[in-house]
Amino acid sequence: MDRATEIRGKVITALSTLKYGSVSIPVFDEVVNPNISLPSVDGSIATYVVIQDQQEELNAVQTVDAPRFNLNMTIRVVTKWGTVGKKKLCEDIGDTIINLLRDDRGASRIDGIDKVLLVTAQSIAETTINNIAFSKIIILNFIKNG
Amino acid sequence: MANNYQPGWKLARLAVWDATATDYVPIACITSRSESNASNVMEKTNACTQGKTVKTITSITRTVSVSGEVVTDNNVNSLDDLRDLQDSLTAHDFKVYRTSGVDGATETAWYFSATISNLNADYPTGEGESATFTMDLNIEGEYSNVKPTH
Repeated sequence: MDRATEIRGKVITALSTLKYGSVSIPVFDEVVNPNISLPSVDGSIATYVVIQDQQEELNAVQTVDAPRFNLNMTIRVVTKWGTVGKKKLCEDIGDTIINLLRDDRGASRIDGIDKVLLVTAQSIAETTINNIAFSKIIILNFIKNG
Repeated sequence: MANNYQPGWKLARLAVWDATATDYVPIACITSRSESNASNVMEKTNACTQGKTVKTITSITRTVSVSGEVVTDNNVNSLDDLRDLQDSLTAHDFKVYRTSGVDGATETAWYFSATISNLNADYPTGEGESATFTMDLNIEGEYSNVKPTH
């Protein structure tokens, strides 16, 4: 199986239980499925997660046992609001996602993945006349042998 | 003649004889192996050499060095295995590969008896960094392409 396919499937499985409070947060691959209703969470108009921009490259450290790869993935937590919103919601969900995938020292919580390194995490805001969107953008590096 | 570059990862492999397993067991988890063959030289300067220093190679000191990552499998620590080898205070039989076999030729092994002269470990604290080790082996005698009997 292609490594990007494999890691994406494992991440989607790991995030299948993602909730904020009692509300399940949908996770999409690259594009939002228009047939799925987006939940309103904590006052937001819509909240969802998108997995995007996967990359694969050889790790700098190679062993005799198996080739080692860096599998990068961007996870974007989107919260859409009216004219007033709060950034904390996307940050809280992003923190939950990170804790589902790795511990504080980069050890993986996904079977078959050696380490999950935090490349960067960034919060961004987008505005229109009627809406604000706060997003948490997390880039993770999944290190896989073989 | 075609240039068949030898892949380093194949030649980096190192195994040690395990009497319990009655086989050579790979040492985990090697990231590189190097070998050194240092000529020991006797120098002579006298009237017969007309004052010039003449060097004669008397022997060769051969060493093998490996570095790798420390791994655990079922709570067995690979570094502990190497510590046990060193703590035995005796020489052990090792196997490396002389040719990789990538050019269609048969993969060939080299066997040697060696003592562990250095065993070092490093524990970096950076995110995602692994514990690593380095080990130096002093070869007793020469490499042999004949598998020793045990």
